[in-house]
Amino acid sequence: MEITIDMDDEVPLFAQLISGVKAAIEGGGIAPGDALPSIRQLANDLGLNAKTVAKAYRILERDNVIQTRGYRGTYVHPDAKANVGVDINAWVHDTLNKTIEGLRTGGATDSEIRIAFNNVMNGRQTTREGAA
Amino acid sequence: MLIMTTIPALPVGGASTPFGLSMTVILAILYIVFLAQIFVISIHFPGKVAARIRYVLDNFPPDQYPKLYPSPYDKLPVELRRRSVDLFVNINRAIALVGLMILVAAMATGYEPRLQGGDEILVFGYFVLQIMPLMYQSFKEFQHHKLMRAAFEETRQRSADLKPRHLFDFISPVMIVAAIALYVAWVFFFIDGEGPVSEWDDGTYIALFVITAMNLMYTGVIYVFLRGAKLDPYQAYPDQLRRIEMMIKVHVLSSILVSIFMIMTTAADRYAFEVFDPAMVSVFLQLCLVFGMGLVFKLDPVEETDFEVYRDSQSQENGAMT
Repeated sequence: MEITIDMDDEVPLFAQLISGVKAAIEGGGIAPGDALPSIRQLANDLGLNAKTVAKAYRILERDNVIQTRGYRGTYVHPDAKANVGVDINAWVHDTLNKTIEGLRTGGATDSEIRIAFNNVMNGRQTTREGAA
Repeated sequence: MLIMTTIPALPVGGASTPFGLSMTVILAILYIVFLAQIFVISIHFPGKVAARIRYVLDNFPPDQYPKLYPSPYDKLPVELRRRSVDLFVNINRAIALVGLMILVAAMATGYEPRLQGGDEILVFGYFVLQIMPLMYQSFKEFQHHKLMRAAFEETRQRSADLKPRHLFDFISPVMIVAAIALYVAWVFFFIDGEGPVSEWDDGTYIALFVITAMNLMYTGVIYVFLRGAKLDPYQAYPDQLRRIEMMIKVHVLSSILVSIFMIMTTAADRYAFEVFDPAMVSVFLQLCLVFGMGLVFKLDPVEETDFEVYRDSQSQENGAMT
């Protein structure tokens, strides 16, 4: 089962790798439990930086599409078929959109939303009362 | 047979020749082995290399397979390039002639290999001369692949197989165990003969270091072929797998041969049959070529290579449409 990437595509290379692996699983080219090439092998075969492949593998592992079994290598996750449809990136965007819409409806300005979002992401719990 | 009958009557070496063999028999063995060395290294394999290059030039011209010809030199007329292949064959034939002259001179002058060894340097020296054109070809191939890799950087669509490659997919574990066991056997045999560590001289350390370093280098080369980037970036995946298998087998067999050779030469030193050293060196060098280049021709035949990957994108698309 081959994976192809397009260096000129606007989609980042790691994202192309992720969708390539997911497409291979969905299409039945590789099945749950199958071994995958090592990061170095895939990077060399595609002429990519190993960090790009490592990033793709990390995200696929987080999404339970693949799993790393220590020195034995990387395998397709047993639940990969069910998990390939899950797009955490799309879910994050969707959830944020809904939250922001709710905040705007409640009267918050975009500036207040941005400051609050940055504060939350940076772990600062500043409130109007706290600030006063 | 011709050689056997033309060997002049030589004085028998007396009691000091090993296994009670006469010097005539020892010389006959050496001459036959040396004649085989001339044929195998300067006639047989260069002929095969030339046939391989001619096959590519005749069937896959630069205008249709531009990715196969990245160098400006490759754009020279095919006829001129065919002549360079003829030159390669003729240089090897000239070297073979030199070998035959050495053989005739040895016979005419009543040459006898020294009983305490050392004459293997003559065989090895001639081997170095023989191997030069082949080494030059290998160097050219390496440069060729380097240019291909540089051109490949421009390639925008890249593919890879989603299957891992493991060592034992390409070679039997028995071969690996044999290579390791023979290396360990030689180390123990060698050390046993060298006495306690306090008695070791520079030669002992150098021999141990060189053979160990060589085996480590082979391991590195195998790893690079297994996991590293392809030498030829356009190579189709089945061809890449065949090449990996060939390279792994060549290096493992080479390690086995070197260990056997080292055991034989260590034994020759210890049991005083160094008079066979020139013949043993010649056989070893020939076997290296037979198992090295021989495996290349057997496992990676040019007729089975997928040359469609070297067409330009335009002709690939046209080919797909038709």
